[in-house]
Amino acid sequence: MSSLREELGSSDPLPPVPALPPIPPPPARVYSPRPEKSGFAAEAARHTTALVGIGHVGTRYATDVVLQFQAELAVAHAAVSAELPDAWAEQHGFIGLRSRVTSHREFLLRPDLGRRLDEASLELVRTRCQRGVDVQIIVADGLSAVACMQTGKALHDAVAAACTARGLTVGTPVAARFARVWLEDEIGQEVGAKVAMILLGERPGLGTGDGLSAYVVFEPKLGKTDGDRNMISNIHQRGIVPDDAAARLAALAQAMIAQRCSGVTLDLGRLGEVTGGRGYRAPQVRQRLVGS
Amino acid sequence: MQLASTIRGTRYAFGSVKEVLAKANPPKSGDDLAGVSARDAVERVAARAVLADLTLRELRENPVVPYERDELTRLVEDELDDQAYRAVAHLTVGQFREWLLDIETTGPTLRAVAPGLTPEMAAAVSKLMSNFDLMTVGSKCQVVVRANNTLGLPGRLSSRCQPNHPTDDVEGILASAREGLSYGCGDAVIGINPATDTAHSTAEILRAIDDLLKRNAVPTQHCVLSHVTVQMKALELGCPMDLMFQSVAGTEDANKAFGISAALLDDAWALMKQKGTAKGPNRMYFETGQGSALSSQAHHGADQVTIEARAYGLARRYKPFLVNTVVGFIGPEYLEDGPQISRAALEDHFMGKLLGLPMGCDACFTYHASMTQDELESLKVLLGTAGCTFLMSLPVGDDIMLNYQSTSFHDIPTLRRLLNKRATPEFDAWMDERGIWRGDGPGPKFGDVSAVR
Repeated sequence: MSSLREELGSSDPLPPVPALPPIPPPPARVYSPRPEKSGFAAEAARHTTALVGIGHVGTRYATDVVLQFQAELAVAHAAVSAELPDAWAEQHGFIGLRSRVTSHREFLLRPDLGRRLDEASLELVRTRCQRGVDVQIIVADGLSAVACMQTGKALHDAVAAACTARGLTVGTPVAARFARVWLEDEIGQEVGAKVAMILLGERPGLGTGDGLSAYVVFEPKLGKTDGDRNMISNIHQRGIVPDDAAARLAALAQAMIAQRCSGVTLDLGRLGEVTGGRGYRAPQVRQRLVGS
Repeated sequence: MQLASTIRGTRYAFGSVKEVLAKANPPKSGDDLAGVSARDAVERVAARAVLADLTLRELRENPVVPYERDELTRLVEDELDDQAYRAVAHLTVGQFREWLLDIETTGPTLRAVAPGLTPEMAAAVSKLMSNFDLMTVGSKCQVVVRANNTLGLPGRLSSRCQPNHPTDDVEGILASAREGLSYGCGDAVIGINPATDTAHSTAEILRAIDDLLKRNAVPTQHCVLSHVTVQMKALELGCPMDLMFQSVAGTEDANKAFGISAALLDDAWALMKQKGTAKGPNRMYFETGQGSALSSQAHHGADQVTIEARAYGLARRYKPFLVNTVVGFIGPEYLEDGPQISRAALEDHFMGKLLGLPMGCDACFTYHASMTQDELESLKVLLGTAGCTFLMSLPVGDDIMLNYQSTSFHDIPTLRRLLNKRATPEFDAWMDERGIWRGDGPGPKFGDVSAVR
């Protein structure tokens, strides 16, 4: 050891630093590459919303890409962590219901509790909701209360109008908090609806916290599975607009009542063109979130 | 068989090996949801103390789902390599852990013992191991497979290029695939999750990717991850298919919920040997993930780590080219946060490798799980260090169809630089020729899609 230390001496362990001239700013690299710089990015943007043609610094992202990405991530996380205010339902003409979930964390960890009504809500459904209707619509927070608050009321009213126009009776408006998709089974069963339809905030994607999904089931009752349901997702102003979604959903409900089934066994036939198949999803347009 | 232990004078007794395995598991929200986890940290250690003294023979004799009740249990039991099993049967789980960690226990020996291990043995020993233990043994395992290129050699880190599209727009898929290749991604597979699960669209996507790979002479594989029955129909249509995919779970009942059985997978494998277009010999691609059996109530009261290992027990029957644990996709009710997702990723990689599988990992989170982007980046370094065979790769890690966050086209070259890793030898040579990657760093055409026509 001492001979090794002897050999190393007492000089600086690293050589002197090089001369440092002023560092020129790197060329502008932007989130949406200018078409004149990248024909590929422009062409790709006509076919996909994936972030391609964004370039690189070393092996990493340009600063502008990092900021855009962080903004998109923040929007998604904000949508998940938002909670539906207690008064929202009444303020918008709904009877306010709650699942058996008591906190936001419990909502994320216990899907089983989000599928059942608490005692007080069950009583509300039994005493205040019209029974024996064709379609029971339920507005709910799901995984994005933001989406519910933005589009829930408008979509509810549009679907109710579209159903009525087809001669279907529509149940008492209800809005549920800390709700999972299968909560429609218990509510629909309690009011004896032919079809239950829950409109709830969907799991956010990057930059998109405002999509609603609709799940529709014939003869709702506890024990129905995902295979029994039809769904439409990505309902919002930049996806399927509420009026368009409402027309599809009313058509679905009527087909279910006519065929007395839903889900994988429902024959969409020509209806497929209207409803877009069993699980239609419109492409998502990407928005630039970080502006100057 | 002793199923009780004492900690600081308090005696902890357990009813079955299955209960010991579950309670020995590190905290997972999915085990809480299933109601099988330890009630506190002390009971967890008590279960581990019991587990450490069980022998591998006792684990073989007590599978978490009985032989009569489950075809996976029967497959594992009937096909176990007796000679390899007899070499380790007498060891306790605690002794087995120490043997695995011993410097003298090397890759070839681990490869020899793999066919004698049941999934329950791999799961059991993982519960006595820390993250570093899992990485240490995982990195020693030797699993090398071959299709159009050679995956899993030492010093290599590969990636699946995942150019998904919400409406299967083929031009959109090709744009992402070309971008990925220009960043050196896709040497494990170009694999697309289709939005539409039909034979026609599966065949259409495969033909487009096949053209792309042929036009650019890329030494890799393609795959469209539709249901296995749909892929079988697509093959009958006469389309190219290098790898056949299926999601698999760890019990017969859970696989029933996926619409598959061992008999169906046997047929699919036979068809691929006959009609698959990769050079081979490995032609199958499986995906798994902790919690999938519980989500269909098919977990038989077992914990999600043990059930996950059983999925590997099924997968190894088909000598797959790729096995991928999609670790953070299932959601926070099964893996709540960054630490749980990271732990699960390292467990799955370790268990799969120990059982002889070419394990990759989709290190990812959904936006309702409590994991930050920095935690996810750290996990990729842990996996790369542990010798993980492959990761995913997408534009900015964002899956525009499945709405979750995974590994990006930029992450793969970053990891290769950080960890001094290379792509598969065949793909590495292709990148050099195209000017995408030269030696240990980016070449003149790195990130330039003109390198891939």
